[in-house]
Amino acid sequence: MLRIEQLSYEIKGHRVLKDISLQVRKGEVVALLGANGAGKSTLMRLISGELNPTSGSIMLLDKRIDKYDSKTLARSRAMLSQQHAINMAYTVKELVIMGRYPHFQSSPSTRDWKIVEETMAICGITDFADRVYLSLSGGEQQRVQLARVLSQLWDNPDALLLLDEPISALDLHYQQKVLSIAKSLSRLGFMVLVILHDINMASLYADRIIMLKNGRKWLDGTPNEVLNSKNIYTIFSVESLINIDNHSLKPHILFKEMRVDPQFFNIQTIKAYVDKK
Amino acid sequence: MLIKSKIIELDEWLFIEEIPDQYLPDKPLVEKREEIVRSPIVMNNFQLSTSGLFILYTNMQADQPAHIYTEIEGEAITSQFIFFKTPNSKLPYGMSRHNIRYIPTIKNSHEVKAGIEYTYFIAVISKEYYLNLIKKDSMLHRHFVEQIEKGHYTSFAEEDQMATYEMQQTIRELVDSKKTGEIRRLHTESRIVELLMYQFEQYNEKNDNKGSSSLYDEDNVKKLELARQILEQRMANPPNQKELAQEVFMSESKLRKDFKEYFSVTVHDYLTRIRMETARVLLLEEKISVYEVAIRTGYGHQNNFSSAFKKYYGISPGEVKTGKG
Repeated sequence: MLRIEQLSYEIKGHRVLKDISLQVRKGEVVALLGANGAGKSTLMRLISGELNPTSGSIMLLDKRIDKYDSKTLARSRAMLSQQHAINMAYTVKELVIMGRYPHFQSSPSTRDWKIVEETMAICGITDFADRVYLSLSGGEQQRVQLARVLSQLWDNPDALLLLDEPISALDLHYQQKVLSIAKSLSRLGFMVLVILHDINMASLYADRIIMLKNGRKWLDGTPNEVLNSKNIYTIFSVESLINIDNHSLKPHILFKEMRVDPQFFNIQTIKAYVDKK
Repeated sequence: MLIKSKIIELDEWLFIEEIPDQYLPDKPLVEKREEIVRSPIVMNNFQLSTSGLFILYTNMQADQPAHIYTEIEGEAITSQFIFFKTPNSKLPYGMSRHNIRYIPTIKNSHEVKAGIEYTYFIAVISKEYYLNLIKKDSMLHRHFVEQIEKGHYTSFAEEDQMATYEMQQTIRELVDSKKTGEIRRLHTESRIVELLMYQFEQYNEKNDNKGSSSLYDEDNVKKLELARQILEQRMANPPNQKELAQEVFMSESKLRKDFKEYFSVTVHDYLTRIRMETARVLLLEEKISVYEVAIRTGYGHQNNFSSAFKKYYGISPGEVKTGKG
């Protein structure tokens, strides 16, 4: 289990997260939703151990995350980040095998290569295993990163998988595929915490949804419990209608068109000002 | 609720608003903006009202001391902010104070000092409306609800607090919104809840009474996790809350309180959640009849199951397309 207790994070006097408590259990997919700047990615980075909280604690499998040695931690949790600073000409395969670094001493074993092969196949990147990572499209790169992250945890179903916007660059097929992989892994015992912007995807694939606002946990419940027009408006300031799909019993969110009155733009005034000059 | 206000020195009502108490989610909002310039006072008023809710936002300044008299008849919860700024103040936003109060009925007057810029915000919320916004069993306002139920005048915080940036921001969004119609209502309600949340958070921090300090003790967490497991394993024939508390060696009140705080859901709602999520699997994946599902999820009678189902999913079990037959 992942247990977060009264977690706060401040940077330069600015409070990014405030008093967050939550749990993720084995076998659960939890989606983290919230507007830009709500603190989702910061929360992920705290959980992964990349940042240290100002106060509160993070327990992974009954042990505080800051008490782990780096190798054990790397085998117990992996994170797919939004940004990847890679500027060397690695091939896809070379990148994916990096996920196995915490598992071998000097060179990868047959088992490590088997795992890499499998995760590459699952992410649909086997065909470009020998291509240079930087030559791939954004969506393809995203899938390579996912394969690397999956390789890191593949043989440890007690592990925690952290996915920060894993589907933002993907086409429709791979959006579903990636979430479906995450869900299948959860059914094997993995804990999955995933940041999503697409509420309908969260409704389809998450067992539970946690919504953040202004660095606070605002809502925590099943998609059916939390996805209503009022909550969606509170979190995202958009109007929506909710239908229940009677084949799946999942809420389906329809958004209303947002209108911005062009009379509030200062284009004409600015243009007049520029013309005068 | 009847809300009246006047400047004593002028002896004429600024407004008299009669607001029905009921919470009617479809009722539109009525907005009013006006400027009142009558010596000794200059005010810019913004009023917003709907069934169960009245909001007043005022900027005012007086050239001689004046007194504002306010009368509220009928049970209400008020969220009240006062910002004041002297002309030579070094603070860009001046000073502020705020509180949430429960008032069975009230008459009071405030002094408006000469030469000070006041901004006054009040949301008068009927009891019914308030309890629709913040659930009665919410931990955030437990002691407050106890006082409301006794019908005692009460302030949420012992002392008024300073408004935070977030609160000011929320008030600004409430007042400055250019939205109209249905969305204006949604917007207002959502911002009011947000404002109350920030107020609760600050008061509870001051009193340090948010949850028992033992909530996250290993021993306590184990008990709570056990309680959860018991509910999952015995969903079809679960213990009641008293029995559950005994089984995990906790008092019933502590179990209720800590369960809600730890799992973010009440014992009752958690049981409903697991029953309904199980019902989904049984109906859709295992294609079991509604009658059988009702029994397996512990509802006994099909009617009880159906109404709980409808409440949770928004459609009745009969409307579900199970793909069977």
